[in-house]
Amino acid sequence: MIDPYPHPFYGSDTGALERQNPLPVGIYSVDLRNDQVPEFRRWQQGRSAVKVLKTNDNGSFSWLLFSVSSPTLWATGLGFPSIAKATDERPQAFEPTKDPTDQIADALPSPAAFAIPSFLLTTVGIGLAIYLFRNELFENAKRRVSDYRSSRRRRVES
Amino acid sequence: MQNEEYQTIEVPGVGELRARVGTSTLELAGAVKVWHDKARSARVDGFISGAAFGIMFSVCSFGMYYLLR
Repeated sequence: MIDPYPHPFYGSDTGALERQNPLPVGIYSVDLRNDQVPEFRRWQQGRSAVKVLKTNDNGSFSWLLFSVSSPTLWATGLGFPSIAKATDERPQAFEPTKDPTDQIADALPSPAAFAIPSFLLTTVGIGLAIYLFRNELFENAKRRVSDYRSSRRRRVES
Repeated sequence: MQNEEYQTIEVPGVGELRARVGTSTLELAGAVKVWHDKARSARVDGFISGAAFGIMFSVCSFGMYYLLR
């Protein structure tokens, strides 16, 4: 059976999805979330035609290779199984991914290299701004305070 | 620069990076993206923390100057 939509990890020959139900005689593999494994085990129980050949789980997903010696009704809630060979191993694509930055040898730039110029730029900028405007800023403020005080004094005196 | 494990690759917009020999193109594209994102966030973090410290330093030092003069 050639699947019109090849399995992404096996290709179109051995990885074809088996959509027939009951499953014909053959060897199949299925990728399940770990919480789906008990459902698979319940399906397997009491079906002597089903024999699990290999299992492999990486923490969150389980890969199971099983044989069916006579047509067996499949648990459709587990998705379609893939047609497999007895020699198949878990596809590499399901291995935990490596740290991608490990593939690049160059060291990441240090935040300090950007923090120091930024610090100096900000300090000098603020310092310059205060230096340029300090007379205006502080003298105006002082004048306003003394104007307020003298006007208040005049009001009190009158 | 080239040695047994790494080879130099030219990444548009990033420059030259040394990537592990034997890395597939797809894996390399992902690795370069992650590396580039981390480098950018390091630059942004550095710039922001430097500016924050600069503002704090300026405010504190000028405050002290006007209090103590």
